[in-house]
Amino acid sequence: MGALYIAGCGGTSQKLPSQQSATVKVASGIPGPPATGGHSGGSITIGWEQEGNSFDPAIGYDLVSWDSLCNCTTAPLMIFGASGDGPYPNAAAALSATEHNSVYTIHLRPGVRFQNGRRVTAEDYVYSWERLLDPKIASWAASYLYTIDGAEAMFKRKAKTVSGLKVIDPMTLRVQLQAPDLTFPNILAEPYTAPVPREVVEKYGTDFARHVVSTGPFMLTSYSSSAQTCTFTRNPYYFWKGLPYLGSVVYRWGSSAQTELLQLEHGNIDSIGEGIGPSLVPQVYAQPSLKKYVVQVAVPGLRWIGLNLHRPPFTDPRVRQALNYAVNRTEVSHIGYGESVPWGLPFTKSLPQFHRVATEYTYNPEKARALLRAAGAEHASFTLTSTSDDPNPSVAQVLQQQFKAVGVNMSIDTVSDNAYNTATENKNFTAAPIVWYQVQPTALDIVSSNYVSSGSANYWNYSDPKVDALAQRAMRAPDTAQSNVYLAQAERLIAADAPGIFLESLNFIDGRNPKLQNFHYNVFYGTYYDRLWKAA
Amino acid sequence: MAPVFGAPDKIYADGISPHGLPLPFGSAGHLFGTDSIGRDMLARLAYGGRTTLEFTFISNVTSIGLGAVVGVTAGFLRGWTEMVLMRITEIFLSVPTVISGLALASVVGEGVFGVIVVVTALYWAWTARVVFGETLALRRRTFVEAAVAQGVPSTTIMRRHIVPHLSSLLLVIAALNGAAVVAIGAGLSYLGAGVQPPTPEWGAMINDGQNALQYAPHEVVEPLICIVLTVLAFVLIGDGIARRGSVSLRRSWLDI
Repeated sequence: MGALYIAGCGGTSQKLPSQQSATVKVASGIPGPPATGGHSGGSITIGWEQEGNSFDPAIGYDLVSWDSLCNCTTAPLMIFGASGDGPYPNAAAALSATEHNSVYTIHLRPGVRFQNGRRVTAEDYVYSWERLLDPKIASWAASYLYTIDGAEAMFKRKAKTVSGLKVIDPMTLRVQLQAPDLTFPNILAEPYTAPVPREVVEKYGTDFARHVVSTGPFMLTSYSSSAQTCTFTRNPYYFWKGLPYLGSVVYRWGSSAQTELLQLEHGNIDSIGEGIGPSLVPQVYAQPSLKKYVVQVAVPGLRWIGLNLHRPPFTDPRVRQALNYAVNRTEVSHIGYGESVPWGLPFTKSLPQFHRVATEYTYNPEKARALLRAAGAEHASFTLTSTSDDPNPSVAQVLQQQFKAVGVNMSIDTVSDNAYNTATENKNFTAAPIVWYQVQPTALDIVSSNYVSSGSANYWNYSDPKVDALAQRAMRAPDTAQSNVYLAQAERLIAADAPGIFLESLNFIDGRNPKLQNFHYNVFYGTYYDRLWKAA
Repeated sequence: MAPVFGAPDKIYADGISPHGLPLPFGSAGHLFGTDSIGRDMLARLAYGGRTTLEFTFISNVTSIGLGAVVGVTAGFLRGWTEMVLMRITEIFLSVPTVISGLALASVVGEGVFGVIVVVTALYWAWTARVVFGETLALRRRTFVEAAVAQGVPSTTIMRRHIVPHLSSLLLVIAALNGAAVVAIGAGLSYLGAGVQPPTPEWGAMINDGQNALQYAPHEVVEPLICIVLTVLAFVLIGDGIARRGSVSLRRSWLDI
């Protein structure tokens, strides 16, 4: 039993815009360039509030870094479609799975080169993945590769190489997994699995992030922390011939959300990297002159209040269920008008081929009071540890009033982002607001991180052997449909246990210059920069 | 008075426009408009005033009380007592108010109690310094020297002959200190280290409304006007008292 992912030799082919004569080829399944119109050259500027944490594919994780990795510097083996479908072969020519999805053979696409001109070989992937697993790098993404046989042993210094990686020839890599894993192709579509050249990494050492080289459409050519800007320039060796159209992409950071909106309106930037903040969304929709800058995309994201199940009053599931019934989600979603929609379940609202069996929580204050009475917690109180990030203060205050209406007193402790991260990671909190953006087209992304007993983001002390077993079965399922059957059952169990107060499904409100042509937004990656251009 | 204007925490179903915008100043049913989550601004401003006056009054009593005790003791007893107390006072006077206020708030906790502790810790030294100087002058007055010569206990002299002569000075200090306390309290709440939601407070209201400044300026302007008018009122009261007496100490008390 196996699966086969084939792109053909060159993916889909389309005629370049009229100013160009060559034919451009891009991966199947993702939005390509149009047959007519547009031109090469030019530059766009993306505004950000803050500097990225690192442009090293093994280290970068925040929104700025993620955007640079996904859309500028790297081009992973696989790529997701705009709506999260796929993944489709990208830097891989083909990917085949055998032995119940426990052995994957990756055939590299011929002609893929690093931005310094050197050809990419299978050895480069082995080097890059072993680097990701190097404990000295301390990559946040290392655990994603644990599925490969011997990967965890290397991360734990029990082995010097990953036994599950075998170079068949310079263009073929065989990967032996510990157990069947349906999601492995998804991992290959993540930027942290893109190759980096050993010689450049060794040359720059810890400064590699400022001199990052990979295979993406743009290469980092300047970086200035003091001037709060960096520039990515067109990669002449990019393997999708004819792309990218733009000559460069410039990042500028250090402005507030409000300032970014003004900059966009006055043409100083072409896109707001983080999107339009929830508190600014009503203004944008109410002001006709701003509407042309807005693109709304439903993303697989969730907002919920995570609860620490080891702390009262949340040791009792009835209290947790009660608070889920106490929330008027419609009222909460009014805060960032359009930025979110009410959603009372633990998995994202739009999941492909997913048939729900869980019952969504809806507003029912009478039921909430009854559950609280049954739990003897009519006058329960707890503290929400939150940050001042938009829209947390507003959401917290609305919830505070809604809980008060059923007799529960919630106090709000607003702390810095660092203090918040420390509190959640150390499980030193009672309740905390969470935003989760799924980066794979499967609910396994959420369940394996948040609700499996050993999940790396399971800050809630949630543990249910049945959920653990279902997640494992979902991962080892022969196909997505069967995997989703197990995941739907897991969602029902998690919803009933209510380790969180589920609030909203998120939209991304992108602010972009209407002069940007062939603009497509990917729900996992952000804006595809390699195929857009700017009209004169 | 505040309850007359309605509930400050109630989220009104009609408090947000169909586009998700807060209602502006002058809206029917919400004269001062609503905030970003649909609460009545007038009710919140009224309750915010109550909160402000509450922590202003209490922290005035505590900071001026502590400062007066230190100032009188140091000024009357002199010697080692003066040296130790006034060096401590000078250390507190050299501390930058807002930054140390934020640091202190993170230790003592937030809320009205936290603001009172922070303001007391930061402002007693100003009173101590002024009272010390005035006590030194009183110490040389003949009725005090006579009491000392007759062997009257120090505490009795301070209580019966020094403190009553400081009363008009302390009133002026209280008024001007009040202006500073209103401003620093609002500042701490604005920065998230003062009064916490759902308790309405003007500084916190400015913080809540700052993201809506472009499309709902009333969320920021209204509490700001309240702060300015209250500070001005305290300054004018202090000025009025000072004009009736012989002291004028305004300027240093507005230095926050």
